[in-house]
Amino acid sequence: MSASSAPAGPPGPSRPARARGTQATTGPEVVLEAAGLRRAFGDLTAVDGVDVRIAPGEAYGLLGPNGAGKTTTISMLCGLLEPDDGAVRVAGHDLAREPAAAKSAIGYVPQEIALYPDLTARENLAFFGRLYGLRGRALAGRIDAVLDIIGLAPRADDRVGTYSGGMKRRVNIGAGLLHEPRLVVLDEPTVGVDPQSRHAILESVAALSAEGTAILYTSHYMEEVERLCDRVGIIDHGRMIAEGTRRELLAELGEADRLDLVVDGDAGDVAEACRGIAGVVDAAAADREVTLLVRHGRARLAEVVATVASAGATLTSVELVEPDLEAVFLALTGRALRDDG
Amino acid sequence: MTSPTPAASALRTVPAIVLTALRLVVRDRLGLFFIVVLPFIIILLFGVGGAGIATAAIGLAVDDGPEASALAEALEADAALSVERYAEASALRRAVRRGDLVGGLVVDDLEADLAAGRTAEVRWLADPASTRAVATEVAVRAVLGELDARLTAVAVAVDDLGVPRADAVAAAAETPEGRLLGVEEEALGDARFAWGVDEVAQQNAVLFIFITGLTGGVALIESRRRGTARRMLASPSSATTILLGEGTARFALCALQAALIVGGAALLFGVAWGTPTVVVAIVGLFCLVATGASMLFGASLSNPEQAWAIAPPAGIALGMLGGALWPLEIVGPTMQAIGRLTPHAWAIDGLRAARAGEGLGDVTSALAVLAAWAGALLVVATWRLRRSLTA
Ligand SMILES: Nc1ncnc2c1ncn2[C@@H]1O[C@H](COP(=O)(O)OP(=O)(O)OP(=O)(O)O)[C@@H](O)[C@H]1O
Ligand SMILES: [Mg+2]
Repeated sequence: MSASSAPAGPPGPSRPARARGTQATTGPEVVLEAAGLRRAFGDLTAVDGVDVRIAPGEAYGLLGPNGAGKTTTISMLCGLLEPDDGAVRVAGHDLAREPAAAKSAIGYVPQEIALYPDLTARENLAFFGRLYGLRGRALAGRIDAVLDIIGLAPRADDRVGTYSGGMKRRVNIGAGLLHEPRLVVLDEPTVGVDPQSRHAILESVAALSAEGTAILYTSHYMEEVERLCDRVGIIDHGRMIAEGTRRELLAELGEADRLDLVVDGDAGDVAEACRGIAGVVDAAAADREVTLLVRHGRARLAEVVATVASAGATLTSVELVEPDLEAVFLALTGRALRDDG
Repeated sequence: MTSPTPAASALRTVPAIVLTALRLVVRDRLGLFFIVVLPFIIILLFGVGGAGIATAAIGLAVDDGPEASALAEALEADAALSVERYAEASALRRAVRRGDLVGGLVVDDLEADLAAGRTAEVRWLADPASTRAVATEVAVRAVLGELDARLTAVAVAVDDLGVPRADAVAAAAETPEGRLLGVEEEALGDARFAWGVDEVAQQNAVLFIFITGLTGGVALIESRRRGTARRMLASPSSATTILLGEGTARFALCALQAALIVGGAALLFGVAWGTPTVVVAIVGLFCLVATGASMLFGASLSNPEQAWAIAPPAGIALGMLGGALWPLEIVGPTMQAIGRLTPHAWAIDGLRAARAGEGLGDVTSALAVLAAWAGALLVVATWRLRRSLTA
């Protein structure tokens, strides 16, 4: 992905790069505004009163564990799912009343690889570009530009079915960029890719953001969201439980540090025992791992080691981690963000 | 991005969807074999059965004599036939039953009848279910007709006019009609209906248009499972436009299949389809029926592999019921009534009428039933697909 490392963006007749923060005067204050979104599937309320506002050029991260309601929220924002309640405006257009105009402003990158494996990358891009009204020279120019962004120009005429997982992911993203949307919505775009492709994907999203495209990025990988996003919303059980910049969210933790333990024995018992230690704000167990939120964690280390032993387990490793969004989630919910390691 | 009117958006989206769908069909080797090659293999196997391609072996059981030799020679002279003489009619029958011979001729008193100026009875033995036998019989009758004309002319000249026999034989080729060889058919085997390449082509058209429709529906399942359908819905194109595009794509596929079979069978096998307006109307409506079935199939199943496995057998089963594998006339009244419930039976009715030279006015009930089927299937399928996309 050579092109993506240059923040100048795609060559050719694309829009001029805009510095972040200057576009507030050229367009509406917000590129996306959703209020009171709610959606139930039978008895399960998958999304329960979510509000989202994204400013032009802003990178917004939606962070939450599996099944939190991220995809359901995004589906409603992109006009793929009717909300039971709530309203969405995109680039000043009401999604329910002017769906075509609202959808034109969004580049949607679905969680699954939504491509035709029997078509080449170029043919896939051409097809989705046509759905957004691109034609002829303009379409061909945009396809070349996008192929450069995703770094697949040399393989553009091979069938997507012959690509590696990471390459497919990149085409999947490219198909959402053809019409130069003001907002790109990416639903877990790095699931199941090798570290190198993942790095390349993050780079190209960062480049898009630097050019002034607004980003809505969902993930349950905290590091990705921390790295890419100006502002983060944490969603759990369909509710937005916290929102703010990284600094604002970390401030909610107070002075707490995170301790990651790996134990031989019952992690649940260990977590329970650790809750009794002074300064432990929260403790969560998953598999053989125990995550603790501890005020002045370094000072409590010895006591933690002793408690593990008294709970009948052996400590395999212990790590003191700087406060991060993972810790914020733990503090808010009493659970680890991910249980899949 | 400017937002165009819905009509303008549909005008550019529908062709994009159709072209992509057809391109995917062309990329799929196995699917292409089903659509392009298989129908013709079947017409070739069941409809033509080798007539005109290889010589057909026939038997001849007749007592020796000059007229018998002349008959054997005349048959042998036809490039499509090779003749084997049998002393016993019973042995000849056995050989036909076993399939060693395509058919056989039995003549009891050829020399005596001809000498006495009586009509000699020639019996044609064949399995009427064998389309190859039907084609061979045509060749045999042509040879017999020519021979008969000559024999008759000679007899008339010698007996009534006293012309010397050699002169009469020489002049005989001029006489058009004969009456000395009367051909009768003797059916061997159980089937009561024989059918030739035209009928098989009609049945195949109906059978394959429908199967192509069902297999075409699998792409819709794939589109939903892979998420390309969601991605399309995320574009400014409305769900209506996308469904219109998908429907048009399925219809185009069925129509191409129809054109391939109708045109191919006419060119390759000389099939006469009959009244063009009736053929176009019946085939066009049946393509709409297949389109509706395709969309409903695509909306109802969720696993593409499963759908791929179901589509051909389901299409063949419906074809069996509806008379697209054998004529409905050979099944019992209950099965005929059930067959009438399928659109296939009505399409075949219409095509038969076209071949018999009938016009649009003669096939109104077939047209009405097909239109009703198409309408019902398309409405239900569109409703279900829309729900499966936006639920
Ligand atoms: N079509 C549906 N029918 C029924 N339940 C659904 C449907 N879509 C989602 N759900 C349920 O709604 C909840 C939220 O799902 P959603 O896909 O939005 O989560 P997510 O945050 O995207 O999770 P993941 O990280 O696994 O993608 C889950 O419990 C899920 O099972
Ligand atoms: Mg999801």
